[in-house]
Amino acid sequence: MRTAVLCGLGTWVPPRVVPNGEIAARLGTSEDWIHGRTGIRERHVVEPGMSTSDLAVEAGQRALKSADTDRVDALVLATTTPDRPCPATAPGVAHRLGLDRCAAFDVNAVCTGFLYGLASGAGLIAAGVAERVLVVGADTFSTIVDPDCRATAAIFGDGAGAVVLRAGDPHEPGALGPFDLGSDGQDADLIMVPAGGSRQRSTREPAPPGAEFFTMAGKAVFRKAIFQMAGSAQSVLRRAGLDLHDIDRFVIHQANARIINGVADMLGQPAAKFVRNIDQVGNTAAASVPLALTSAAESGELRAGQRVLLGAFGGGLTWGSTVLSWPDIEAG
Amino acid sequence: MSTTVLQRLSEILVGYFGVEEHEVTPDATFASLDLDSLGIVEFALVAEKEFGVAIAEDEVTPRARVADALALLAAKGVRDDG
Repeated sequence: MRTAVLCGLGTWVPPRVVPNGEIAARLGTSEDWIHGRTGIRERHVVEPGMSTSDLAVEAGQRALKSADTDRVDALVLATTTPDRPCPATAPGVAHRLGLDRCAAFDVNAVCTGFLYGLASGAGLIAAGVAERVLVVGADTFSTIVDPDCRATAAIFGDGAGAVVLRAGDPHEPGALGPFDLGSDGQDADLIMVPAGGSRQRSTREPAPPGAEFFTMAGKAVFRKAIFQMAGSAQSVLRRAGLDLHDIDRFVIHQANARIINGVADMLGQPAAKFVRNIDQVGNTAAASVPLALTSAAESGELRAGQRVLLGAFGGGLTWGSTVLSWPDIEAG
Repeated sequence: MSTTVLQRLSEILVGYFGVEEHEVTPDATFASLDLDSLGIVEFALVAEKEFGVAIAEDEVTPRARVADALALLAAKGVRDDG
């Protein structure tokens, strides 16, 4: 059976670092309060003029180098912060990477975007549409977050991560799957940007104040993230015929350190099995899982041969999980 | 050090439901802590595991107060430790 095999990994964050101290006063709080509530100490943000595609190109280049290839048949870009509402950001990224003429499209599943992108890329390979796919998760939430909103301004950071998938065999290290993906649109309003789409259509007038900012209903999102990520992990393990004890590392969306702790508790798994880099990058939305993978691979926390569960939860609402044996690759 | 049922209840609400510790007061309703009916079902699941007692769907509602949940747990034999 043709299966997608992960064979390259690359990430990039913009150079500007914003520590808690730089935003605490404006939000009327302290550095320690932010760290205690979220586990975040600093995040990276883009300077004006830098956009999501710039981050995606940097991460994409590194992933291609890590996979030792300069050709793919498709580029899937997971993002909630495209360069423009139209067209998709992926074709421009493909062009700048020298991947002209390859299939290129965006996927929007907010913070679950990378998992949805992986599943889309794996599907293109399984269906024989592509031999090799570049999957990128890139977001610049600093461009849509209200800088004065305590619930979001301290949480989000910018970044990008990418992997190369190639056609291979289900028993190879790096083989992806099965997947568990799901959504619940009844709660679409819990995480959103109200304006800029067809619901609040463009007019010649500016959008109402704040309507172009990202909003999130904190408590409801907190608990749904815990329950859905734990539930999705259990579903994907059932499909894979695996047990929680078979998993060496959980690399789940770095939404908030307390959410990661909640998922570990709910699954009855030691917190040490859960990879964390949220203290240095914050919540980077679609880039979060590949950034955590790179951080863990570089620190030695994640080693070839270990069985890894990837999981995420985000706006939509959406969630997703998959499992793989970590391949012997060097992050680019 | 003894752990009270209120402390254990508070840990559940803070750890799984994103509630701030200072919000967990006897008079706070579950609705005021942003727990809707689905949130109550999830709360009951976690509380059953934590306290080792069965909680039926209609025993806690979003309108119930933290004090009502404590009374319910006490009626089911859950006591403060130590």
